[in-house]
Amino acid sequence: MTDEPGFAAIRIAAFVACLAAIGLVARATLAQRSGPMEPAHRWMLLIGFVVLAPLAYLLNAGLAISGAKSVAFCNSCHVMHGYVKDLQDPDSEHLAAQHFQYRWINDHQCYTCHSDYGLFGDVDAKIAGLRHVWFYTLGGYELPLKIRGTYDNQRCLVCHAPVKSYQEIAEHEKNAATIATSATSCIGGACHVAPHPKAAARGESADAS
Amino acid sequence: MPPDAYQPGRAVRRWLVVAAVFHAVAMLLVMLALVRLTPVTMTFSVGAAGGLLAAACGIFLCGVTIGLRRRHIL
Repeated sequence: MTDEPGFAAIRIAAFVACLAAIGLVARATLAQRSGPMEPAHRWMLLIGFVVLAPLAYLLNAGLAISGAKSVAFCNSCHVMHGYVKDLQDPDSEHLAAQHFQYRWINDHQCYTCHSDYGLFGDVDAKIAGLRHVWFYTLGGYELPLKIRGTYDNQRCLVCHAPVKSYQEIAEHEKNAATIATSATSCIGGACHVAPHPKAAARGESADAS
Repeated sequence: MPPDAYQPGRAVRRWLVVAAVFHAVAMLLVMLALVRLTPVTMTFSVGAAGGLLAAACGIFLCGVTIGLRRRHIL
């Protein structure tokens, strides 16, 4: 998984803070088995417990939350390999692959289309991610994979609705109300092509990458 | 009791060891996520490590408070 600029330094700093915290606490705990506690050991415990450990934890949490938006992170579950393989296929005509290949979405392509906008969009995405981890590692899942609930068209409209070429299409104007509420899907029917290959949902190309 | 003569009791020392173990496990989980970020390591490094670290810090601060009270500083 590649780091964004500057993240490598933060990663190293967090790692060093972890090692230092473990070292200080272990040194003070093991050295001070009896007798009065020396001031140096008190300081070691204080710095190890209250300064370095929370610092390392917060740095890692920031890196993890940011890193969890990357395509490589999604691809770390083998059930996603088929989706990402199609995404990276220059000949694919699926909607997600087109957005990826032409960089219509510059970065974090999975996350951008599968998380809501607004204040709670990220929170909802993290809760959904926890659910995915549960089903992937413990709860089990059924193939073919299906999206939970209805795909929210607002994720498409945030970028497309203000564009003139979108507004000029009569169908968009005629169905504006139902498109806005996701009652009419952007995908399928006589509208836009499927975002992902059906084989990926069935897990057929999951072992390919 | 003069501050330098204070000796933590056996129970306090035991709790300190428990806190140190929680702390070490939490830091190892964090290091695991720093080395390789996957959905599982992320969940453990943010969720489980957070809980363990909060418990370790809580035990440590309780120990500090007990020590300060015995020395009549608090």
